[in-house]
Parts: sequence; C-alpha cells; structure tokens
Amino acid sequence: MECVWTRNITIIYILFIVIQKSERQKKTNQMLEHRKNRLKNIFLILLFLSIGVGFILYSLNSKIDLYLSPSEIDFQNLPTTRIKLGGVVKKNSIRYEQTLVNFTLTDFSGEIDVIFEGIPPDLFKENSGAVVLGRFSLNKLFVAEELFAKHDENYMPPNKNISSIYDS
Amino acid sequence: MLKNFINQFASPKTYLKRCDKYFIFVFSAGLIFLAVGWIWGIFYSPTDVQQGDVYRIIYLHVPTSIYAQLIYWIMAFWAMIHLVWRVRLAAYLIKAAAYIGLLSTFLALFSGSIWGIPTWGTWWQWDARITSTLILFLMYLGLITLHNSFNNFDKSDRLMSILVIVGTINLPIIKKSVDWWSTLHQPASITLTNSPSIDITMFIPLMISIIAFGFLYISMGFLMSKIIILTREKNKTWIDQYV
Repeated sequence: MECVWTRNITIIYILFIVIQKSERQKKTNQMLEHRKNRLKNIFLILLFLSIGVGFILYSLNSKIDLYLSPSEIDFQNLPTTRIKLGGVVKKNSIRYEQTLVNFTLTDFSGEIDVIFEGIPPDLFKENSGAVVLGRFSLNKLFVAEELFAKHDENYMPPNKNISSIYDS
Repeated sequence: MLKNFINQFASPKTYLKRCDKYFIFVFSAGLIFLAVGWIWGIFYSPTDVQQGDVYRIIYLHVPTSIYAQLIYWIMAFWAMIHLVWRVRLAAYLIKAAAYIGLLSTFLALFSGSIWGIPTWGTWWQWDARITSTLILFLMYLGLITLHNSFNNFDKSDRLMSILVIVGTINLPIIKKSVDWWSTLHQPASITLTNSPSIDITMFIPLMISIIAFGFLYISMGFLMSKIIILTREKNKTWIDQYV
C-alpha cells in the first residue's frame, strides 16, 4: 500500500513541476503585448492598402491595357482619337509597296487592315504580335504612325524546330 | 539557447565580423559565376531564331530584374523586424539594400530599353510592366531620400520601414502585370509551375548569371552595410576595439 502511495505522490509531484515549467516557458515565449500590436498594425496597413489599391486597379482595369484588340473596335462608330491597337499579324497578309507596309491585325475573332509608312522593327513578321499607334481613316483603314513588334516568351536556337511550340 | 542564437544576428558587432570574414569568398564566387555565365552566354550559347544576337542582353536584364524585386521583398522582411522588435541592424540593412536595389532596378530598366530599340521598335512604352518597374525605381529613390532628410536617425529608420511596408503593394502588381493587362512586355519565360519556355542551352548560362548576381549583390551589401554601420555607430565603445 505504502509503495503505491509514494508512487502516486511522486507522479503528481512530477506532473506539477512539468506543468509549472511549461507555464513559465509559455510566459517567456509569449510576445510582448506592444510587439503584438505593432505586428497587427503592419498587417492592418497591408490589408487596407491592398483593398484600396485593388479598387483603384479594378476601376482602371481597361485603361491600364496598353492597346485595344481588333474585336473591341466597334465598326459602326469608329474611335476618332489616336489609339493603340494590338494583335497578331495575319498569315500571308504583309505586303510591301515602296515605303508602305500593308497588313492585317487579328485577334482570331476580329480583323483590322493597317497601313504603315516606314521601317518596321526586326521582329515584325507574320504570325507574331504587333502593336500600332494611329487613327482610323474614313474607309476603315487604320493608318499607323508608329509600329511596335511584340516578342513572345519563347527563346529557341535556330536549328530546333520552332513550329513545334507554336502548334501546341 | 535559442534566444541567444537569434540575438547574435541582431548585433552589429557580430555582423561586421562575419562580413569581413565572408566578403572575399562571396565576392570571388560572384566573379567566377559571372565570368562563367557571361562567357558561356555571350560566346558559346546559340543565337535566338527570332532575335539573333540581341537576345543576349537577357544575361544582364533577367538577373537585375529578378533582384530588383527580390531585394525589396527582403527589405520588407527587415522592415517588419525593425518595426516590431526595434532591431537597429535591420534598419542599417534596409538602407544598404535600398542602394543596391536602386542600382539593380536602374540596370533592369536600362538594359530593357536598349533591348527594346531593335526588337520592339521603341525604347519606352507606358505599359503596365515598365511603368510599375519605374515606380519601384522611384520607390527606392524615395526611401533613400526620406531616410537622408532627417537628423533624428531613430525616427527616419522607423519612417523608412513604414514606407518599405507600404511599397510592398507594388511587388505583386509588377509580377502579375503581364498577366492581368495587355502589355508590350512579354510574359515570364521562367515560372515555377511550367518548364521554362527558353531553350536549355540558353537557360543554363542564364541561371549561372542569376546566381552570380546574387553573390555580387550580397558582397556589395556587405560593403554598403559596413559603411553605414561604421558611420551610425561611431560613438559606441565597441567601434574603438573593432577599428
């Protein structure tokens, strides 16, 4: 009997010490109150800021786009101001006449004929992206003052079969 | 035990000793990686099928752009440490990193403009990626100017940290700008989820130059922070022993 009693007491005593120690440990591990507040403030700043910036960006959404797509153009009521138009140069559509370049921009649902006078950049070619700055003439032809070529994210040495990435 | 281990990182004295010890290794590693990466990239990697040799500017443009953003993330972490725990060293490191971030962002914008002239046909367009990177550049400039415009260093450290936290909102915008809006800038070639859309023969030297710039920026950070610590702590007693 006695043996059991002493054993129970020692177990309770050890438990007591362990609990006490862990309590003490908890207190030292706890962050101080003012530090917690500062951390909370930082996250509040970030939260409100991201909500605010999110609203701004959401309302500006289409204005941040650098260019319009051909399908976004309303042919009944053509924009009269200078705009930027972007898309893919349609296959077999580029024609050179002296200093003039004539081609069709497409986004695979709308098409717009573009004329540009000058030297196009190196990367301007069929089936690759281009952006033009200019305005519509009366016969729905887009007269470009400036022509920019887009580069895609693919980098390939010349000896590899490049069509493989474009087909997929 | 753990507390001592963490506390030693907050001590400018231990930090300076470690800077002196590791500087030469980090710097020479950076130089070696840069030499390998750039010589491989410029002389031995193949030309690009569309751009020809102009594409080789990515060995400068991509590393500097990556670190322009990464340095700001690191600064934001230190700003949080400084604001919550009032660690002096964190503020010194933010200031040192801001100069390197400024340099890196400038190099990224500059090399991108040079690349843009022959490939796009323009050196500057107000598209989302370019504009948000310009904002990052101005952010670095503003941080340094704000910190320099106060006589009370404690106050300027704290204000700078708050401004760093505020500026982090720009980072996801830079990252996602090419996906959210139509831009002249191309989308990312190297992503965590997909295999890189850049050929492996060009990708390896690019990775080497990215590592090289990491080492070089760390060694530059050692030097910058050493200057800042020595000027800011010049009245402390441990400086006499150190010098």
